[in-house]
Amino acid sequence: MKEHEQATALCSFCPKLCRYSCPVADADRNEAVTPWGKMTAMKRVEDKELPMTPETMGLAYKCLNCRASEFACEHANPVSPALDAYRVRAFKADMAPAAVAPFCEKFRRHNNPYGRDLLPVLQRRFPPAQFAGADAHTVYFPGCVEIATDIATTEKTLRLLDLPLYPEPIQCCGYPLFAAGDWQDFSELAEVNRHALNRYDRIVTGAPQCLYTMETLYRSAGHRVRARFQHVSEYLTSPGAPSLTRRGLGEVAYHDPCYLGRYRKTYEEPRRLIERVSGKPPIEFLLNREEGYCCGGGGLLPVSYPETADAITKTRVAQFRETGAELLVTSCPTCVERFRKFGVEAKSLVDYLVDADETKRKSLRRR
Amino acid sequence: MNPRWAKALESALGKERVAVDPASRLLYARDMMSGGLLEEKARHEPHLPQAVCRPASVSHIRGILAVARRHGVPVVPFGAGSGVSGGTNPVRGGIMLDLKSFTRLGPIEERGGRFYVTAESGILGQHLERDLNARGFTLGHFPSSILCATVGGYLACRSAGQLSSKYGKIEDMTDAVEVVLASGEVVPFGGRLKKFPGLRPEDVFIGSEGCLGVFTRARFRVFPLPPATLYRGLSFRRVEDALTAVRQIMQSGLRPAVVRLYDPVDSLLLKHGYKKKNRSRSRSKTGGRADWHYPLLLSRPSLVQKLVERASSEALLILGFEGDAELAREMERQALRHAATLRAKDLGPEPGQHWHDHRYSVSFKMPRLFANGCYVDTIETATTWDNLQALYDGMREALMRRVLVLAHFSHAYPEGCSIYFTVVGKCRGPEEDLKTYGEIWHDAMEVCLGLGATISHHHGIGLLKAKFLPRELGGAMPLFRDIKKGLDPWNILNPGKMGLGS
Ligand SMILES: Cc1cc2nc3c(=O)[nH]c(=O)nc-3n(C[C@H](O)[C@H](O)[C@H](O)COP(=O)(O)OP(=O)(O)OC[C@H]3O[C@@H](n4cnc5c(N)ncnc54)[C@H](O)[C@@H]3O)c2cc1C
Ligand code: SF4
Repeated sequence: MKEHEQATALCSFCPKLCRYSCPVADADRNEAVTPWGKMTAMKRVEDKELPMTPETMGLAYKCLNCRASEFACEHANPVSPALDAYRVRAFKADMAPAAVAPFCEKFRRHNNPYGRDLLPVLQRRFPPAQFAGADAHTVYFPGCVEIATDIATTEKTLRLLDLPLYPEPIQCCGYPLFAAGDWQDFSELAEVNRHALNRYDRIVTGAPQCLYTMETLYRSAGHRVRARFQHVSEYLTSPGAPSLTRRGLGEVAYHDPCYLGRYRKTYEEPRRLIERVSGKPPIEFLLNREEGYCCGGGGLLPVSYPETADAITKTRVAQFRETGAELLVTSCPTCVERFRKFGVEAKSLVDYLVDADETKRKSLRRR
Repeated sequence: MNPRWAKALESALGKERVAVDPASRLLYARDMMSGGLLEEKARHEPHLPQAVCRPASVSHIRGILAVARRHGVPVVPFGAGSGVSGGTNPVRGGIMLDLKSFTRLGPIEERGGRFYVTAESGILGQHLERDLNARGFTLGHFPSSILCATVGGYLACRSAGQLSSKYGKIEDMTDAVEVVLASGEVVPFGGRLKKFPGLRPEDVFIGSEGCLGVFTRARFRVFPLPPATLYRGLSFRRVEDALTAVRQIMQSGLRPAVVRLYDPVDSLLLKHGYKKKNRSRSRSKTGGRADWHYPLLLSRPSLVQKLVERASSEALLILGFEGDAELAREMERQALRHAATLRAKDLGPEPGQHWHDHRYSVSFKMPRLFANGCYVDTIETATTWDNLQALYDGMREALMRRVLVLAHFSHAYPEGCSIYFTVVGKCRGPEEDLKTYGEIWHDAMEVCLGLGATISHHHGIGLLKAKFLPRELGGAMPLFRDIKKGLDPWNILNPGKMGLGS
């Protein structure tokens, strides 16, 4: 039996023990979208007890890839990779949710989800000297979401890290194609990106989803990247990283992005950095670290089922309000975008660190 | 084909709250009754509902019930489907009434020095406890299904949690309920039943398994989080001695929060767990990987049972005390005194701590066993102290020929105690397994009824034990039928369950 078939079989006999952890189940309040429901439906399709229809296969897309259920499950049953495998089947059979195919169509035109080339956006903002040349070893890869929605963070990151920018025409890792189940296009993009990424020894990024995609998913598509990957929070806490000055700031709450937390187990570095500049640890959400609740932006859910994605973001926003913090800090541009969409003052980690640092310098200058 | 009344449902609560697609219908067809899983393995077609509804308000529920009355369609209240007695299986088709959109939780209220909270019926147990803990309180209700059951399901099945010896069962914690009747009438919160004014709604509806009304919310007594918890493990040479000790402890007026006495086979498994000190606390990355040793071990259950029992007759008792630190310590001291008179060996706090850290792990064994060519089920019964040993012996004798039998005594009270049997068997062929399964339940129920023990302490009657309930209730069964007729003359609420006929 293939791994994803074993996984669906296990879930189909389970009394839904991880359901409490699944934000989609929480939002839709429906058995069919619990991890058990989605996996059992796929098993029934496999066993030909359920017809393969767009409605049923749509259940494979009702997942954020957040891995919360895997962490709640004592068998660590890989639910989201199994559902990803069924997305590929659904996509091939033209049974993905209605919005997915047009989304991929749009993606293919510019190799990102934004309907325009993103390298020129960077070129307009930054002088040529800030782009990596042939001799660069370490580069900063901002990823399409940061470029399109939060370029101020890219600017601050370059300043703080003093790294050159990734200079290639394709500025997207292709995760949206992967999450759409468009494995062929994802694979092709991975191959092109692999060649470009392999020119460097180290890729630093603020986007944990890109990091996972390029480091792990490319490998499963047969395109292993030789370069080492680091998240900015890891870079900034490694030896030789630029120093940060300390200044007491207002109360901030830290949100664990799924791809940095559960996927990479990077929980402490961002917290340490926040503490370093503010003098105190961030306020914790009730659900944090391994139990962190997704922002609603993963798994292409905002495209395939926007209402569910929005309900999840609203829940996380409500959880943020309960912390009593003034500012939400997180380490992923997708999360920042989701929170801002719902009126939260949210900042990426670097944005917060640089602002804190500069406020400090300004106040020193004034003195 | 969509049922002819589907349109009426859609206009009552909106199209997005009514599902008639094949996947939704199939995924609501069974609860977690092991017999259902065996039927699934045998590829028997389940009874399917024709529609799944997700009401978000009392008026939605009333709208659904109006459609059901008009068209004579069954309505099955549905919490999270974690029931193990087939309580939600739509044996007559109809409408699944999924209540999980009822998720509001009120503030903590103080009345006469006691604390209460009002919770809607669709809240998951784990979410309720988490949110109460965040406010410094606990419901004190910790069923092994806390991760996957709703408040409505708790009420409907008279659920019992692991700390029941201190906090009681769900009915003991419930102060008031709101129920929608088949007529659409709402029994007011904390009010009285018009039709049967002498009866408290809590007494009528708690345990009625969706056959008499639909819970929408309940007010529970809650408790400040205990400042101290102490655990203790004790080893007895024989189950009988341990039972005497538990009885003495409960009848002396002590109120331990946790009382769990494991028989020799169950003790061995528990000890195996806590001796493996360096293992990760919970998760092990096994995913859906196959386990060959389960079916191998279970191919001759009676032999395994004998071998284990010959190796050890030791019974392990876990005690837990909660509350004020000094009081907890004193209760522990007194309990140890009782145990010492029965020559118990004190194992210290570690076995109890281990039990606490892994208290929900046993539920995770269920899918693994089923996925690996075995089946497992649990039979929970209860009786008075004078009858307990006979019940334990009788059940084991009836079951051991076919399956491996583990038992623990939990939910101890001054009057008596519940026994929770776990039976594990190896699959030998889908039809044969179903036959054996039927025989196991038949024999087990016969033993309970023969000895005057209850056929259910907290899992409910549902479909599984429906035909045995009239014998347990005896002269009270006609009264139960009259109440059903009086409250649901249309027989639309969960028909075919609890021995109430079709
Ligand atoms: C692994 C596992 C461990 C378990 N451990 C325990 C345990 O320790 N203690 C315990 O008591 N039980 C236990 N159970 C049994 C089960 O979880 C409980 O019976 C639980 O109370 C059912 O809740 P539910 O929300 O899943 O109800 P469901 O399974 O959805 O429904 C159960 C019954 O309640 C009715 N019902 C549900 N909601 C409502 C409502 N709002 N109004 C009216 N009727 C309603 C249904 O019609 C049905 O008859 C366990 C089950 C499993 C699978
Ligand atoms: S992931 Fe684990 S806990 Fe969740 S349904 Fe599957 S087997 Fe059960």
